Amino acid sequence: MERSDQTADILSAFDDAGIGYAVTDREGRLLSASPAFLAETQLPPDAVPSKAAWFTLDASEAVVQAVRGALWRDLVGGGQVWRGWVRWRLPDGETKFFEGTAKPLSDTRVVLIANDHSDLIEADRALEESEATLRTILDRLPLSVTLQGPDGRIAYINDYLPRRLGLPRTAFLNKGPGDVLVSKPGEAVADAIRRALDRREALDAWPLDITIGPLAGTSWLLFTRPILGHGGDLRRYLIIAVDRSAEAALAQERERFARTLAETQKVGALNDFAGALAHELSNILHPAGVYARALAKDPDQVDRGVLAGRIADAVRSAGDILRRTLLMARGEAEPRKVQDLRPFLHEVVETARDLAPRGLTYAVDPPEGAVSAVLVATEFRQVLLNLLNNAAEAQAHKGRILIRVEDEAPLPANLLVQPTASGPFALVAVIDEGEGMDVATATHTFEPFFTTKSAGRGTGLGLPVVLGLVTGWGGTVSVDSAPGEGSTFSIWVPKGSPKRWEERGEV
Amino acid sequence: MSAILVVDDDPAVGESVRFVLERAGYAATGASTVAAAREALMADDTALCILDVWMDGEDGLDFAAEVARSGAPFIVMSGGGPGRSLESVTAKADALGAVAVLYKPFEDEELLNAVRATLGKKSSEL
Repeated sequence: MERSDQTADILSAFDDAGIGYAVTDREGRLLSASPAFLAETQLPPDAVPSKAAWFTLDASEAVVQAVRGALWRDLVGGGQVWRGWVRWRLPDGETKFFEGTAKPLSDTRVVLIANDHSDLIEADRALEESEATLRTILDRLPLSVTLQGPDGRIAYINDYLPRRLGLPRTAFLNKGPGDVLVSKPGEAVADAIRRALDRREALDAWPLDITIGPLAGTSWLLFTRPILGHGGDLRRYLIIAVDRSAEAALAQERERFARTLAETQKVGALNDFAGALAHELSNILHPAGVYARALAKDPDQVDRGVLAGRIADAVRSAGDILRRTLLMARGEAEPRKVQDLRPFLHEVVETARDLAPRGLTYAVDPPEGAVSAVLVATEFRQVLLNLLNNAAEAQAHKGRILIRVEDEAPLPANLLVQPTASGPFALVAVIDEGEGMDVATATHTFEPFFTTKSAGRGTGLGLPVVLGLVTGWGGTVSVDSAPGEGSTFSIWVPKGSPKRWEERGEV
Repeated sequence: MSAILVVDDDPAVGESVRFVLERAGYAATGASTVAAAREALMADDTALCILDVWMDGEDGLDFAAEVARSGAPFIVMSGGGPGRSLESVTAKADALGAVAVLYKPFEDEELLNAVRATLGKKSSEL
């Protein structure tokens, strides 16, 4: 009695836990079934006792039910315990998964226990499906995704690199990332990357140029993140590598184009410069010739001191021009250097003043201290002379041109090109009193061969060259103008050096 | 008495040209801007105008055209300028009817020959 009470309690607990049980005959026909069993299988109460075997009572196809029948007979015929999964199809087409146990009790009785695990199975399957989807997406991404284990070996790699290199994924797994990402030890950049990866730090947009090995000539950006466990221990190290060789090639192409333009423009500038120089020198030499001839003809004339003084003045003026011209032409392949830009600025402005006709003045408004910036001195002179020439043309070679300099200035919103250096930036602005222009025209001024000057007066190459050179230093340009209000052309020169130059030891 | 008007934006050049003319016995006046030259041209009886073609940001050749229209004979002086070849200056000056084109620095005799030729020619016409 006590034992049967206990059994009843246990069976009741089974029901409460949602674990169903039933008793069948050897053919599998239901003799009795617990409420939980009926609830799980959604069989109506009047289905018990059943005329057919329990495994034929769901909505599964006949083939499936036939297979179940064969298994059942094998098991029950052999007097063994069966354990396995039952995929139970409900009338509405929904599928449930039961963990089932069937054990012969006697020659005529079999006990069947069914535990509904549908939620778990569904969750597992959903996880599997989402993982599969994720893997597919990862494999199709146009970038390399790698997961390193705590030991530094690659635990996962998406299909990008293997596909690019024509290698199986297994060629990468369980190797160090340096073996894959970096071709050979000993190379400076490779070592920098290897050291960075060994520190297992988070890197953002770390540039990597590969110069040897199967990926030679490609440029990458690395993004890495350590993934830590609850105890702060390193579980995984995520490395994402983006191939931006195409962009890098494009940037190089742009740089080459800017240099070619600079060369072309130099020829035009040389013509203008030669003309201006000839004009200046002829104006100096002519009076000197006149007074020298007068003195030669009559060395004893009364005002010989005055005439000789004028000749001396002419020689001194010509000498000044000569020295400035040499300064302008100096230096070809100069390195970028952090330097005070004020001396170069004053040199160029003095040259412009020398060549300016009367009525055209230049005013410089520099800060008191040094204005250090990363620049190439010759290029800076060229850029500034270009801007001053443009300003002079814009106001028909008369009036005042203001040059404003700031040691550190925030970038404006209307930049044509984003600078490659991170800043801060020094500002040199050339402000003219010309006719000004509308926004559309202002934006076009940096396009090659665009010119607002009349035919034969401008090559349309000055400002593109300015843009090319300034962006070459990591800086950028901007223009502010409105019709009738003059124009301000500004160059923004980085005060610090971009990371890449430091790596190459350029700065 | 009619005078020779010397127009150059560089005072040193203008002064030296007048120096040569005056020592040769001519009366000469000077102007260093196009505006002043225009005024002098209208007010005075200018026998001859000697002008520079790169002045004060204005194209001296444009002013040369004005002088040509006024009927006064003129001599063009040039020392080059931004984006301008000496050949193109000569061609334009000839087209406008310049008596002579002188390239600075020029000899005193070149100037005086051109002046003598012009003023001599002009007096024979009277």
